[in-house]
Amino acid sequence: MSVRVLTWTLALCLLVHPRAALAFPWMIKHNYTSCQSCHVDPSGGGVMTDYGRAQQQTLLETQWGAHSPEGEADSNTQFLYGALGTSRPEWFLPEVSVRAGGLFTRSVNLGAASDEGQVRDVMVPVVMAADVRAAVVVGAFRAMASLGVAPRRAFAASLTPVGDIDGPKLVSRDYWLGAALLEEALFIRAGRLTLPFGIRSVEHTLWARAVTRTDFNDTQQHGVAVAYSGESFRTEVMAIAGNFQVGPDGFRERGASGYLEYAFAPNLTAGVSSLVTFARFDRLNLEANTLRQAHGLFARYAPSPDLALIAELDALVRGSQQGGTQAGVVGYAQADLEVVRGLHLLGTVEFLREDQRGATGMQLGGWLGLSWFAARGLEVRLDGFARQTPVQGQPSISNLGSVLLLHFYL
Amino acid sequence: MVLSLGLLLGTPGVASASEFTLQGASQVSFTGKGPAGFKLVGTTGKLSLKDDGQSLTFTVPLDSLDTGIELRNRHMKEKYLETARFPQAVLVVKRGELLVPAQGETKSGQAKGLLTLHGETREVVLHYSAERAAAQTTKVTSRVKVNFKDFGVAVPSYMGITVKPDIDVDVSFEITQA
Repeated sequence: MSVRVLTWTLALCLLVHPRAALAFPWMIKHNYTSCQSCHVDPSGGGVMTDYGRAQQQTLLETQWGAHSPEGEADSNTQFLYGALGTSRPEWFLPEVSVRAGGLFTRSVNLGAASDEGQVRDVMVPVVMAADVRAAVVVGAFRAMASLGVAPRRAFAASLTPVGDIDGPKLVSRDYWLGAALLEEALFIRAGRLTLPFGIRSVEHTLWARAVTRTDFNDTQQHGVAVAYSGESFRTEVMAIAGNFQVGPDGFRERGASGYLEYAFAPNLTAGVSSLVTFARFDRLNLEANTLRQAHGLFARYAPSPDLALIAELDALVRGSQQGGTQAGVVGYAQADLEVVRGLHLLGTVEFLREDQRGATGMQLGGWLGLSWFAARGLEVRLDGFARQTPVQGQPSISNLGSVLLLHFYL
Repeated sequence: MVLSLGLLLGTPGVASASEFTLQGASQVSFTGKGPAGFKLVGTTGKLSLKDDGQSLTFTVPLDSLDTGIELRNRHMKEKYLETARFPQAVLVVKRGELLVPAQGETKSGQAKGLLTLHGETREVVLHYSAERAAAQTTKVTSRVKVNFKDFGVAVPSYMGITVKPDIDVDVSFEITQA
């Protein structure tokens, strides 16, 4: 496969992948260093607790009208604007998440063989999530499952056989059974889980998430995890048994991943994370006996109630039968400024050096985003991005684009 | 949510009869803890000190406490601390309970005091450290643990998250001795 085809494919894959749940590491602006109060998942993302839903309304969304300027949570906070009324039992936490819109990209590859190939524009509709999720919380018992439809991609989460032609498919990104013990500080669960690694956020297309395969779009794996959320730190470690929604077994990665984040102050945390997996045949890089490692640092800091700074840096090591051992690095830094309640400006810079992707040197990227939680259950998001990929012996390939999405979370 | 207590706390070293007065900025904070690492912190910079020669009386106006979330502030003041009825937290510590460092010294210890909160007065134990870097100025930090139930304050609970009744109150300030 040529570098050009690889790059365009990569760009589209990164941009068109569906993405799933909410997860906002910038909640540290409100001194929330741990995730479990708002999410059923101890490491964040996915189904919200009743408290989390209330905080969405109180802290995330633009407040309209004067009757409740501080956003007192009410029945509208609940599932489908409280349509079930009091008939929804407290132990049952359902939600719907639909994120869809349009994507425009322009790829500029001056090294392409033909003029036609040098500039290529793509404009496509995207459906990044169309999922229903639910959790059950009864005493110490916890259970969670999701089910959705992905018009394209999300292969690794597919519940139906995936052939050579991409198309609509039924997906289940995560589902698990667990128990919360020791006043909910200790959380043990088993199922298909998002790998505990780095900073969990909605931006699954970040290189740091995509390359380490730790996003919560479709890279979840089956296994057993133990999480602990204490006063000063939180951690989760997972034994990875493989993704049993892909086959044959040789494609499945076995290993472990985990993170530990320490809260130095209510507005300052830092952590380490590590991941080691082995697959007899890597399904993405098509290499035998692949040992994949990532080890890194991350930090979150809120210098003011309106601003959050987030950064992650990971070393990458990959060894395989064909490719030998190769090292790389990936990282990003992001600033989230909440201009007024509910309206966020996001600036992100990221980099990636990973030689086996057909690129050489450091790949650089930048994003500018506008995220507006405009009303109860509605987020409007507009992103502009630019990414540059150096190619050996040729001019760099540039990808520019924008994404407009409407996200309904009900 | 809740808590806060007013805080009172801190208390520095004292001993001689010269009057102590606050100098510069003060900080009073409370920390409440809930399940799975949940933590909430409320702060205020409003702290007053009265020294009658026998006792030090620290007063915190509870309406000034800020948890960073308006709704939570409202719950804290209206549902739990009931600041309209009980606007202040007051801590009284006898001078004789306290160690006073000499210039260049740091002394730490614990002392008993009487805390009035939510209309109830209870004895509390405060741990303090006093550092006297300058001739007349002493930096003091102090912590006291308060159980809301002892003061008749309802245990804060909201949407399934319940804060433990044991609250840490931290105070820092500087005092001068006239």
